[in-house]
Amino acid sequence: MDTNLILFSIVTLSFYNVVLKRSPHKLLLLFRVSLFTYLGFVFICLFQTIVLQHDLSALRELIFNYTFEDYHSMSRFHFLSLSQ
Amino acid sequence: MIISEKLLDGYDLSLVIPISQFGILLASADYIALGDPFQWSLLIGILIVCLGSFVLSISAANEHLSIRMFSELRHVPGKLWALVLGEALCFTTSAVVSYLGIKETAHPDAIMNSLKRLHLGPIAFHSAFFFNIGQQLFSVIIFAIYILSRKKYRTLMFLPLITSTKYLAWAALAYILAEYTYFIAFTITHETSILRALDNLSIPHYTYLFLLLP
Repeated sequence: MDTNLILFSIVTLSFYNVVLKRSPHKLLLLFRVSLFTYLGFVFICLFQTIVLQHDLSALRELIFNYTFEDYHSMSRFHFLSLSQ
Repeated sequence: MIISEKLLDGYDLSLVIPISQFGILLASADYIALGDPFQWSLLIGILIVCLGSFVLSISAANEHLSIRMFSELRHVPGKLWALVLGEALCFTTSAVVSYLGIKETAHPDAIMNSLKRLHLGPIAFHSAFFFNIGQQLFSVIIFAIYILSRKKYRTLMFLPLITSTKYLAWAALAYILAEYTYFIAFTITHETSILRALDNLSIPHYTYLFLLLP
């Protein structure tokens, strides 16, 4: 399974290289692809936790884990998940 | 950013991409230097992976897989080799930072806690997928600053997306799929050594691809 995923990843990456080669403004395309990839990953992350795992605290974790709070002091915000 | 721009605008991508694949060899050397268990078989395996990536990338520009496509390498200018080496070094730095960031040891923990105390932004360690989300945001911010600082791109940046919707949609979809499946593959594999995981995940398929060569 994992080797098949890697093969799929390499094939799609080769396809991406071909599209990039044919684009008139390559650097601009790279920037926009980076931006949409970031948004896509955030969407996947939220979809996985909110829709598939029914875990409504995903947004809170994205904000607190990623920015201003210490990873190990999350218990201080336990009341937020209790209120949901 | 500067190296990427020079490579993208100055040279044919069908030459740049295959040569760039060998940056993974430098990254592998760094993984070994950082303590990943070393075996000659693993190094040979990584070399096969690089050759496989090279063949796949260069074949995207050619109609058939053929030994003749290797002859193009003889005419590669020295400046291109220098730029590709610079790109490989940048890739190696990024790969090493990612490697250190997703290892669950005391060192990344200390770095993570220090960065969180500094309130520098989105950083989540220990998981390849979550680490990449933070890394991607930093990449977008640096990219935006570079593009806005260049007069050549500043006006183009705010043009409606309609002009290149086709390229953008396909490129973004392909890139998201490639990255996501790559992270999932590394998440579900049972290997703890990154070199061994690279070997085990990639070699079987590349050996099949070599059979296609005449």
